[in-house]
Amino acid sequence: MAKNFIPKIVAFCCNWSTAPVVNKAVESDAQFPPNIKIVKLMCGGMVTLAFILKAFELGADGVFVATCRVEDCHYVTGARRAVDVCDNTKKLIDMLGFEPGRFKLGRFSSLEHKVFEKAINEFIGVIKKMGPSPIKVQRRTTASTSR
Amino acid sequence: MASKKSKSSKTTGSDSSIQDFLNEKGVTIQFPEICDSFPIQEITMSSCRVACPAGVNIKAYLGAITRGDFQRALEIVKETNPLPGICGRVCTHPCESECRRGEFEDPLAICALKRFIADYELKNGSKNIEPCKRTKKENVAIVGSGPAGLTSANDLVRMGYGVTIFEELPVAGGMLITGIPPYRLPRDIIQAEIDNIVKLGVELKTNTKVDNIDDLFKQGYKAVFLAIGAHEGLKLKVPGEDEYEGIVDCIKFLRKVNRGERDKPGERIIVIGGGNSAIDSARSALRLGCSEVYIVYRRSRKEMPANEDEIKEAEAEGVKINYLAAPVRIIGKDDKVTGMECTKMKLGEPDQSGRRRPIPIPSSEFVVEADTILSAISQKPYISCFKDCGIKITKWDTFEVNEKTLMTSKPGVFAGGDAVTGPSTVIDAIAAGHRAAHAIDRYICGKPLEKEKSPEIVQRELTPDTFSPERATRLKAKKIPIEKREDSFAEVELTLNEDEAVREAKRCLRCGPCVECIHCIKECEKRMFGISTDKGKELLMVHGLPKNIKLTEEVSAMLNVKGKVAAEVRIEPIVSEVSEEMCRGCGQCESVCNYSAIKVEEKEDGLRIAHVDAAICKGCGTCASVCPTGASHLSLFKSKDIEKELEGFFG
Repeated sequence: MAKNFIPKIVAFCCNWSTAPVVNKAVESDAQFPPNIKIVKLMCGGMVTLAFILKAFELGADGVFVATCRVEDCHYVTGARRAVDVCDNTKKLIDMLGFEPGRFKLGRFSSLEHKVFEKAINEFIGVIKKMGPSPIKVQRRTTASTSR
Repeated sequence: MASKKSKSSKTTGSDSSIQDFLNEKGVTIQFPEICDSFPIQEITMSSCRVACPAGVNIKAYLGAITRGDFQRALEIVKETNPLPGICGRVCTHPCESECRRGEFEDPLAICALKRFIADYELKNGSKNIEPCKRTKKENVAIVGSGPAGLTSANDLVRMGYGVTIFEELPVAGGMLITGIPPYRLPRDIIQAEIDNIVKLGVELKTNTKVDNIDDLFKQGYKAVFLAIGAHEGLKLKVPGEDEYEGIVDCIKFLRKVNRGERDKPGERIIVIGGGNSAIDSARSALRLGCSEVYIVYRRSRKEMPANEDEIKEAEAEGVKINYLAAPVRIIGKDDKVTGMECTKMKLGEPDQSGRRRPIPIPSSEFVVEADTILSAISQKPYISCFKDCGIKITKWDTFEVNEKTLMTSKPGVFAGGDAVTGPSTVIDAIAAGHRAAHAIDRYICGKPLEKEKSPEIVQRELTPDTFSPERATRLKAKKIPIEKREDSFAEVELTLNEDEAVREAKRCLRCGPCVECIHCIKECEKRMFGISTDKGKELLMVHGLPKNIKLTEEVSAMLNVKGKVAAEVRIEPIVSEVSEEMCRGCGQCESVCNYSAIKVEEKEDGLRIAHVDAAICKGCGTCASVCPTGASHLSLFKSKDIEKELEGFFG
């Protein structure tokens, strides 16, 4: 199972600089694995614990948050908020007994699609090593036992 | 679990990081205990506040009046203007000409409202004013007790300096008391406001003439502020001026009248000039029983520097104004004035002041008969006694000062008000008083004088919902009828009553969403709001937590949040969306999109349908507004939408 494992990744992207980056990365034939879901947000600061946990709950193997660089934020404090959210999320994930590595924050300016590509592929590599998310496994087993 | 967390997820912040970030941006948080705050909006100044030379926070006090909190309104005014009752009567109110409501109907009666709150305090008894604490050992001498002197005394005594005002006349008030007649500005109002300032701990020495500035320094004063005003009338410079009796300088005339003398200057009076002192002289002369009063002004009514209201009132009371006429020579007989020869003028090119220059029309002379001529052309300061003190004087006989610091060529000596600008308005003098006080403070503390730059002012455009207000006519303050004004120096204009004041204040458009009343900071027990100013920028912060949030101890400790919080501010992100069923491919949206985010594409079956590139779309909504079929609309990225999107992905 581990060999054919294609991780399900959710990437939250800021609409102002990282969403164009993603578009460019897709256009330039990036080697993206198929199971990556890009969720556009108007601002990285809109990412909340809820979205991240929801994604994990629904079975994501990894969650990636891509925001602008702090000084470029269109809403001035949005990117900084995203950083705060992610710091707290990491702590909470750790408390919940989850690998903190399943969650990552990346900051990109609107021209750095190569950097984005590299970062996301690295992230996928890390998740592949970790294996499927424990939540997903647990849910499957509970589902099968109840049947 | 997730839904509960979705609420707690707003509790994002660790305070230090946001604070660091804001510090980088040049903003300091006044209340560091706010753990998760973010700016509601950068406060920009409203146009009325920008127009006010003293920078009175007009929008804020109008907001306080609307709430019926007249005490707070007065506090706000007094932060920047220590003479609200005086300004509420005689201010030229540049704020009203900049009022945004004035763009489509009459502007707000800001001046009358200021007068209302000042009078409200007088009527209902003011709070006991306690002397300010003396925190600094230095003393400052202020020469002149006009508005500039009083304002700087007020500021300096609040900063903790010992302040002494020297006044040559037996009464304080300067031009307020000697120049403005009581029917415009009752004496008890001036006295009350001066008393308020004296009560703060200012020493007022009347009947004391200052001749030598060096003496003041010898007496131990560290700095001197010369606010001596402009009390010396300029000469007409026409033939016959010095030959005949009956030519009076309007300032001397007004000073006599304001002292209480009620002698009639003559029967037929000519007043030369078009400023407020000309109108004041003319209206005073009428009240003294003169049968005919003419004003001769060399430009047209449009260029007249006097207040429009004053001119109207003067005309209503029976003053006749000759526009476009200038004196040529004075005619007299047996040492007495019998009349004045004038020439007609026409207006030429605009001069440096922006007003059109009057040009005499040749051989258009005419004679106006009169037995007294009041010259009210302009004034200059009595500067002769300061010429030997080593202070540079300009060619207009005013003090030469550094424009930014108001310091004269002699260190430690500052000058401001009419003594620098020539005759000007009360509010300009107040502004000069503030600037002088700050400069004197920096001078005494040894700080560089020119450090402070005037803040950059960004004008915020009106949003559509603030600019589609209900129409409401401006309230006009009641006036005593003209028949009752003869022989009487009683005040002409009356104060608004409470209901009128609240109704008028409600007309304020409050340009920009925040009223800047700062009431939130005062009222909020939890101190969830803070305001800070740095580098001229102000930022209102609000605690960004949702209502009714329940946090477990563990999580709240982790998130560094204490207790429940009450306010929530959310930005709803928007992106355009075109529904394929309704789109007819007309391409109107494509033509209006500022970001080229919409393209009309032809499908295989020949249908033309607009396609939105969500990455480029900025959610401005222009396309939705032009779409004839309603296919183009704005979709919201709410938490619900995002959760749905995620659920869709995982099946």
